[in-house]
Amino acid sequence: MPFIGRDWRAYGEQWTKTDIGSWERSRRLSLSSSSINSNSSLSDVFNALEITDSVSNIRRFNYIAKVVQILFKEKLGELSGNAQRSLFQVIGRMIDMVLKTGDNISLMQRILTQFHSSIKSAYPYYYYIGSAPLWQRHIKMLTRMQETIKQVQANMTETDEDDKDNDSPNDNKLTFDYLPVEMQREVVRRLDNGTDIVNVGMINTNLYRVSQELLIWRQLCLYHFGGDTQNSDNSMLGEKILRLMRKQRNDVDKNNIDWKTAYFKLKRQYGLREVYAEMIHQCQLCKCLYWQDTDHPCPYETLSPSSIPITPRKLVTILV
Amino acid sequence: MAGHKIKLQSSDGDTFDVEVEIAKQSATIKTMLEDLGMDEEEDVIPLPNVNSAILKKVIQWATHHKDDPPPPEDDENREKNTNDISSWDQDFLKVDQGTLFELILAANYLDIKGLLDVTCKTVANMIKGKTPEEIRRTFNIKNDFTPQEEEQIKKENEWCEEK
Amino acid sequence: MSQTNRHVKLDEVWAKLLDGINHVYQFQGMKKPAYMLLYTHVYDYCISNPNQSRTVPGTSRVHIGGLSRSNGQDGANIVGGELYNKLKNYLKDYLKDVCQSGVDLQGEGVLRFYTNRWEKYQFSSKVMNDFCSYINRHWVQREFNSGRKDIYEIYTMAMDSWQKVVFQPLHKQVTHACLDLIKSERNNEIINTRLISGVIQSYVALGFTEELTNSSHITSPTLTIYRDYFELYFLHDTEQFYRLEAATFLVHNSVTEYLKKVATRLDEEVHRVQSYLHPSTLSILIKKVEEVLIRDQLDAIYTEAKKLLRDERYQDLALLFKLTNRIPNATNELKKIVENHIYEMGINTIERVSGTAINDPKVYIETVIDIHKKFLKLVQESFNGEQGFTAALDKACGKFINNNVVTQSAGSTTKSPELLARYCDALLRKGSKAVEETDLEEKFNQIMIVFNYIEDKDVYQKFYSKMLAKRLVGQLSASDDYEESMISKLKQACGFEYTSKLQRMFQDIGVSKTLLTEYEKYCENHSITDTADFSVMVLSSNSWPFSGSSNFVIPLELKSTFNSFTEFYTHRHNGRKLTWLHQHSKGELQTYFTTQKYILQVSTYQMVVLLLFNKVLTWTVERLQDETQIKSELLLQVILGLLKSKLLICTDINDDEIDEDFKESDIKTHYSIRLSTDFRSKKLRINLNVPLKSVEQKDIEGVHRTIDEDRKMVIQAAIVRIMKARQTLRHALLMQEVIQQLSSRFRPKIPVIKKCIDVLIEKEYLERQSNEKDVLRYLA
Repeated sequence: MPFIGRDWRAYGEQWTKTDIGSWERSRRLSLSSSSINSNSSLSDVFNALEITDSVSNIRRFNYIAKVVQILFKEKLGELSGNAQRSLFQVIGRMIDMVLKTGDNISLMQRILTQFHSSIKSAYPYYYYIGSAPLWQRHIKMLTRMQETIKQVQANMTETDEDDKDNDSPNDNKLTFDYLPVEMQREVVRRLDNGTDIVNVGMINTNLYRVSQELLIWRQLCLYHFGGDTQNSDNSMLGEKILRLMRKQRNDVDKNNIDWKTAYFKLKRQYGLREVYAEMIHQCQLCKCLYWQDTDHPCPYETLSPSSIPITPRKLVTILV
Repeated sequence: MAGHKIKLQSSDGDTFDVEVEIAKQSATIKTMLEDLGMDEEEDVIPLPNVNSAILKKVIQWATHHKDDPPPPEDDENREKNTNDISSWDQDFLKVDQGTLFELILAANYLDIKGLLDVTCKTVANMIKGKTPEEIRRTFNIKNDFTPQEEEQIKKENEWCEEK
Repeated sequence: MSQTNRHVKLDEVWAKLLDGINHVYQFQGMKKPAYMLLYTHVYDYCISNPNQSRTVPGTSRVHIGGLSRSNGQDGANIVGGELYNKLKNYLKDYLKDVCQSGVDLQGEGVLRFYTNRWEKYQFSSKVMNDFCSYINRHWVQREFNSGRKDIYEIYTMAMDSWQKVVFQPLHKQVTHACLDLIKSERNNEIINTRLISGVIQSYVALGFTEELTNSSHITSPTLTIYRDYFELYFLHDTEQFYRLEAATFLVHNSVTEYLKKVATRLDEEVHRVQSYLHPSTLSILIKKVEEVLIRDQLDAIYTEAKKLLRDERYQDLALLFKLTNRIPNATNELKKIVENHIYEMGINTIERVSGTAINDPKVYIETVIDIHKKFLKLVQESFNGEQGFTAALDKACGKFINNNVVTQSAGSTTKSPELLARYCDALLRKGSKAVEETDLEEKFNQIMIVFNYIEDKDVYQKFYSKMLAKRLVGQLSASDDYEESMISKLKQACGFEYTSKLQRMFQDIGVSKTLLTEYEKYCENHSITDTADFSVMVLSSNSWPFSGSSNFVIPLELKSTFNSFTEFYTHRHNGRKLTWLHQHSKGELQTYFTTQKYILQVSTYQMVVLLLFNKVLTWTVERLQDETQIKSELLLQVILGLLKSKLLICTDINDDEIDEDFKESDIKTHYSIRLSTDFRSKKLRINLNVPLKSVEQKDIEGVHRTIDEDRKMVIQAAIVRIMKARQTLRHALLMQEVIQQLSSRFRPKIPVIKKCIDVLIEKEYLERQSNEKDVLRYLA
């Protein structure tokens, strides 16, 4: 960009050219790279917390996905140019990850669809920050991404048919279906979403039987709606479950509850518990944000440190 | 006892020298040593259900985790937190499906709770958010329902997701 | 893994396992490869799920639709139950044989058999449990979580089988044999305790089955078997054994011997639990033994306590106390016994010395101190210094110190504080025999011990201040430091108010010293030279227990001294009134009428009289009175003293008439008194200023007499203070508060308080509330 006269970039700050040709301030984050003050801008925070790179760490993936979801759904209009760019970088990395592992495809799809509809709903008034061509570029990129994902899905449902005929006879390798039933149980027990368990049950007859075990659904109910302590004791069922049991007076026998039905009823009423393997925390002393597993070099370290976990929604309210 | 070793023999006859403290992450081996004692003369412990390749991986895993603290009691909660896999374990489990399932079997046979946990979580992550058909493709499983059965199951589960 | 291994039938696996299981239950050693093989058989069998593949014939189709809701039946089929049952049946048969071979045994035989088989069975079952652990991990775990309460881990199931098949038929003879052995040991025989500890260990291990609650883990042990099948009988036996022992032993032995035995027995029982019983039995067993051996013999023990106190057998008492203390509340009676004993000893000891003690503070107070010291030692050595016994000591001391033969013969409880104050005086005076400083400090502490028991602390205060005043004015104190130390101890015990006067007295002395130097300067500045060489103490009348004395005509020789000081003082402190305390003044005269010059130390009164003889050598008594204006009563005393010193001579009586029996009243007003011009003495310095015995005695009586009046004032002041703060108050509560407020000084009597309240109502400080006569109101 040619310009004459006074440099439009602010005096006294150091600016660098980025790899896509725009200018940005060189980051002067006084704290260590792994934590950042919560007053900083979204892109600064994303950078400092290595959000883009963290996508490939499955301990952080879900947390980031949730943040992105909320941003797309509710905050798209308020994002600065830098913030938009950061967000696109993250999305790009997420798609790479999905392509590589095959996991989380439907989640990715949901995110992209959300994005698409958010943009579409504003058309043709691009009230978002940035020029119309920029947003047309965004939409183009988005469409490309969606196609990629579709391609992956198509691969999953189509090409295998041929492979299987080739593989199965000579490849004596173990498959999920051939695991002992105890092990299939172990896997199913680790699913925290009832829909996933139902879907497993629709694969074949063996897994149907596994998915119908009351104990599994009971533990799932206790996990999402139970009391504080996950105890097998009936008295620890928790207020939510007990209330449901009281409502269904015809079926009060504690040992005879249809836990699967109960799960979906409770889910509709209360929603599921959100659990992340790793969360961003905020230090109570210096208000810095940092990933739970990284060290936080607090300037007030002489005081007893205390930090609180920041939910994705809270993080969005802090940043935008 | 530090550095004391025992010999483990895989199904294909290879013998591995393993430090006792590492081997004891297998509850099966641990209780056996408690029951029978550690004799001077060294028996070779046969593990007829684990082949060399898998045993090697298991030993690699156990060596890396030998100083882990014992898992806390409320594993009900941790079990379902399937993303909670350390980055070392994430890298360790970047293997083909066959190996992954073999590792599950070995962890179950040797009763290594930590290894069983991360492997099962990895499989659970492969299931999450997929349609039944996608899961079948992922694991190469045949649909053995009759069309009527399939219809009935669908019906049975229809109400689950209705708003 | 090969697919063919997948379908292992139950019979096949059982055939493979049976050999190993037999091996284990015949207690033969096992090698690790064999163990691992057994584990693998169980594993292979369990993971071969018959439902796994549809190719297995005879498997029914899945029931689609309609969830099956009975427990354990839903979900996928996990293998293990059939093998579990086979193991259970095997153990049942095996144990039946075991039981058969033990059923006819008795005594040590059955114990040896039971413990031996049990230990081996336990170990074998542990090994079997471990190589079958795959069943525990999956099948048992799920059954248990689904709510089945009759499924345990295999090891626990094995314990359960032993309980049902071996323990139930044999426990009577086993328990009985244990109790027999314990009885032998109590009779000092040596027994093989390992037999018992083996049985106990077995009973405890078997206790898991009953009362499994939902939340408990699969093998959480409870002690029900141990409690119901052993402990109950054991405690019953224990009670019987010791009841008999107590009865027979006491027939031939003293209670002290008996208590020594009890102590040993208790130690033995503690050791017994530690060496072969379950620790939970300890407290309940010891309680039982204590009940039988101590609680049920308390009467005998109390009687013994009295005897031991009399004989001063403190060590035996300590043991007696230690044992009695194990029984709740049993020491209360002991405390009473101790209190009575100390009281009686105190009363008796004082009675023995009362003849001299009534007029000899040293004898009295040191006797009291000795009694206290002796019994404090008793409380500390025999009763561990326990609070209840210290309280008993205090109660007893308080009682005998304030009320005993000495106080009774003096007719009032205020005798003790008087004697204590006099004891202090003796110590603090110049020339006291307790010179050593540490010694004196020790004595002060002892005084404070006695002081704390004194009820009438106000009486002590009165006497003390009187004597302190005398010591200060007469400059008789051994040391200012001692005085201060004593006052600070009193202050610690009774608070600032109690000693404030004493301290002010002390201060006055210091102030007077500076005043005197200032006065000397004053004299210099005003060129006043005609004064006598003299010193003066100015004492504030509030603090000092002195009252003004009878006046006299100031002789010419002293006049200017008097006047110049009075002028000096009133000039400095305008408005202050100086009252001369002649009875406490003294001076020195020098004789010029004798060949040898004598120095006479005299009281001011004596001086006034003697100075008159400078004018004329002979005076009648009447004229002396006219000249001096000293009250005649006092004058006669002065003259009598001077006559006795032979410095004056009465011309109307013979010298030899003035002897011990000669009284003031024998001196008539018309008698002539003459200066003895040929007075002679061996000493050059003669002290004529001897306080009169009768005066001192009167002083003491005076204090006792005024005490009641003073107390009334103190009580009234307290009532007004309280009522001013409370405005209205119930009669009873007022009494209570008055007593509480004054308790550190004396114990006010209730009728006196009532009287004081009436006085105050009369004086319109208070009124009775019109609607409630019980309530008093303060009138501003």
